[in-house]
Amino acid sequence: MPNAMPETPVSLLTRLRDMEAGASWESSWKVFLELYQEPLRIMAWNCYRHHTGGAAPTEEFVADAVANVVSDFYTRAQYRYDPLRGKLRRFLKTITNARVVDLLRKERPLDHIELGSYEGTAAESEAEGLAFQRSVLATLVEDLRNRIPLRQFEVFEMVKLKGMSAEAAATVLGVKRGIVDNTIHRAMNAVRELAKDPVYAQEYYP
Amino acid sequence: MNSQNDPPLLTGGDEDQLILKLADAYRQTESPESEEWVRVIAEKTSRILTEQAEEE
Repeated sequence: MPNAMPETPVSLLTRLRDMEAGASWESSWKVFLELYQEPLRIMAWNCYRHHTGGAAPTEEFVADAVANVVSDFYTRAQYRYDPLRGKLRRFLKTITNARVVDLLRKERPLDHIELGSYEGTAAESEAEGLAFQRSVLATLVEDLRNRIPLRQFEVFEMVKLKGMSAEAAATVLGVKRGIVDNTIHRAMNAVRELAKDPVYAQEYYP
Repeated sequence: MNSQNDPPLLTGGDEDQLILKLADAYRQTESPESEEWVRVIAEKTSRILTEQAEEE
């Protein structure tokens, strides 16, 4: 008798970390960009300041650096992420530093810019960490969106993410308050299940 | 390295706290500033990927 139980969907973050099996992520690099551009921009900014003795990069430079990181992450085999070797945040920092140095060497061909490894100051690291944590949580929200019925997510979004009262959501949707409450209850069950995934905790905590 | 001792994101009574953090992360990614950055960087990334594909 065939197994009638559906397989548990693999989370977006798991697929993101498993680049070999993550073909669906590769084809949707824009989702990755939407979710991780904030920490990548902060990393690029910090790396630029480090290599230039405190100068501030232009927005154009930061955007170029992040675009190169995103394209590297998805196309170059040598930049495949291996979760056994460290956290995703550190891996992205390493690529970002390398791409910033590449661009700096073009921008300042007469300067001798060493690649080296770059950790950053405590304050820089904290800012990057907070932004990265937001990205991990935003990934969980995206995961939730893909896992539950669209209508259920819309109600969760209105009430839990946008802060609308359940009563107001019921009025907007033209349904009874009890339906909104039940829908939120089911969505929260899905959030609890997702939040149990150890991959989220592994990447969320420093 | 990933630690086996990391607590799960949701433990005991901190559910409200997690929802607040999820809402904050959601607002950040949906903000007009973030969307503008994504638009600009996506254009640049598309160009890079297209150039790489043509070179191959």
